[in-house]
Amino acid sequence: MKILLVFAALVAAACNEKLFAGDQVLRVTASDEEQIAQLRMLGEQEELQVDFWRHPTIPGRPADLRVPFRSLQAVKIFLESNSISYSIMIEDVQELVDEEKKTMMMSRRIERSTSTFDFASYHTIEEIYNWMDTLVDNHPSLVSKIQIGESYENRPLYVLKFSTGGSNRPAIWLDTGIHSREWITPATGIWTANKIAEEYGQDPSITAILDSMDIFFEIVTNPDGFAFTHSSNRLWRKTRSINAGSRCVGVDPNRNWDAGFGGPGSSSNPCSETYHGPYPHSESEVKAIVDFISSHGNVKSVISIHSYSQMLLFPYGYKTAPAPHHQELNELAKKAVSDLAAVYGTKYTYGSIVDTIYRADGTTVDWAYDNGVKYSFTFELRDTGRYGFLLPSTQIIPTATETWPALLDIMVHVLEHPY
Amino acid sequence: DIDDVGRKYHLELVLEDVLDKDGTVNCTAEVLYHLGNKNIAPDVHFTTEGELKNTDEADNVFYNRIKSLEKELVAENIPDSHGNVPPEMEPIRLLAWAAAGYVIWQNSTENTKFQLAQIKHVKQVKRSDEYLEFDYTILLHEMVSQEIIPWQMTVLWHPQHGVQVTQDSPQPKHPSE
Repeated sequence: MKILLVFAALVAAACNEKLFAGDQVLRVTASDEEQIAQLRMLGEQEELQVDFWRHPTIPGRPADLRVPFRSLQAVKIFLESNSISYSIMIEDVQELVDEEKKTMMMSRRIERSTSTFDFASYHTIEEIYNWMDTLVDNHPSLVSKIQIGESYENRPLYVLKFSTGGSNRPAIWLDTGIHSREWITPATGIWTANKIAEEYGQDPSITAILDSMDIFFEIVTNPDGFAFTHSSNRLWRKTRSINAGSRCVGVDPNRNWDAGFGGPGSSSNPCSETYHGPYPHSESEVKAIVDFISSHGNVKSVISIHSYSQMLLFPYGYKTAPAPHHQELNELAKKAVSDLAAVYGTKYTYGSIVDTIYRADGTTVDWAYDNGVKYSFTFELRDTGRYGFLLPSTQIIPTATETWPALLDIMVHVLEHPY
Repeated sequence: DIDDVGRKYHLELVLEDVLDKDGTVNCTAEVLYHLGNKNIAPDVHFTTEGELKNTDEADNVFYNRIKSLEKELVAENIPDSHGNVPPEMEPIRLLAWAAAGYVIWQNSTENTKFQLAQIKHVKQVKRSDEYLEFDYTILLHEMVSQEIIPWQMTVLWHPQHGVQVTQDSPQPKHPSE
């Protein structure tokens, strides 16, 4: 009987049904054998559907009866007219079931946010995707998760949307993990996304930003590559798409954009780390972002986060001619880098991609800039080569912490300079 | 630019001791990249002003520890995926870094920027003389091409005689890598 009740309760709870509304549990104490017999008879009356949680055995020992709401009056009259003493143990079984369900859900939520996601270590895709759901659960009116496409190996491409409302507000796009070996970037991304959610309503800058703008944040931009860095080759950079006619796998997702595509700042050899791919946006991971930003139509800034070198870069990578907004972008980069250095003394260089790092064709930020997104920046996070891609996890939080003011500088500037 | 010879750079830099942040040494250097044959390492001449922290004690501790090992030291993936280096492997990593500096110098052009990305594998080779010998397979990261290049190097070291790379060669890369 009890098992059936539990099963029914689970099914009902799952279907959100209220199977036990108004039912009560009565504790009944028979005082002699005759009353025991009467209680047994009560149980045999099918139409009453009395459910014994504890059967009547000997006089003096209580029996517990769950009585469905519609049978309550009849059962109580029966007990009273036979002078069988009883008390109401549970006033409303459904209330208890609802209470318990709520407690279970709450404890799962508490467990997920306080068994606490460890921001100071590197995580797998599964852990990151689970954490995303936790973030949404913990900040349901601010954060939602959208899927913008699928990777080559059919992994979902998730983007966190931070919005306080409005309709297609001007937006800021952030991405981390486009090059899978740059583990510090999704790690910083997670910390930063969490920080945005926590600081809304606390920090005046992020609050002002989110009150008029939306933020879209793709944490694992190259999930296939990222999975490969966990399973097979920690230093894998590219996507994992198969290249026709070659034994070599993968396209450099930061050479696959339609801006100076195919030039000398990329490679036409599929075995190369900077292979640009067969044609622009051939990679589904890139196409998804292109489609998203294009159809959104109101993205005002693209910030793409890489490692390593400690640099803050802006267009162009595919040509040496300065971008039309070079001066403004340069001034903003200078300020951001200065505020970053103020945290722990970490020194960044800054400038256009081609001047500061190397010629690079078909990059994310060049495409964004050429498609109307004025405030397009690339970060190269810590370090400068001592650990390179294998940055110790002890540096995750310091890196994210120092990068935060630089990101804020850019986002505030975007807010204050609408176009 | 020097006609028919190559391009010379004059540098003024500050060297910082990785193990002692306050330890800095001023350095001036001249680097000449040769025209034509890119297989010749650039010429480097430098002078330093100041002294770095003395490491004799730590050197000797490491030297004696390795000399007294029963079995040859073997290790891989330093640092590991999470950037961790077990404390006892730190000197092995520093030695690789110094030796990799030589390999990088020998293979640099004006269009390359190499860093030591990881020690894939290291094996001690027991010697009958006073030197320590290690056979390393390292991964070099070249910044401009973004390539990861496996490289083998045989390294000799002695506390008083310093580091020597007696043999080195790039290794072929597996297509899956």
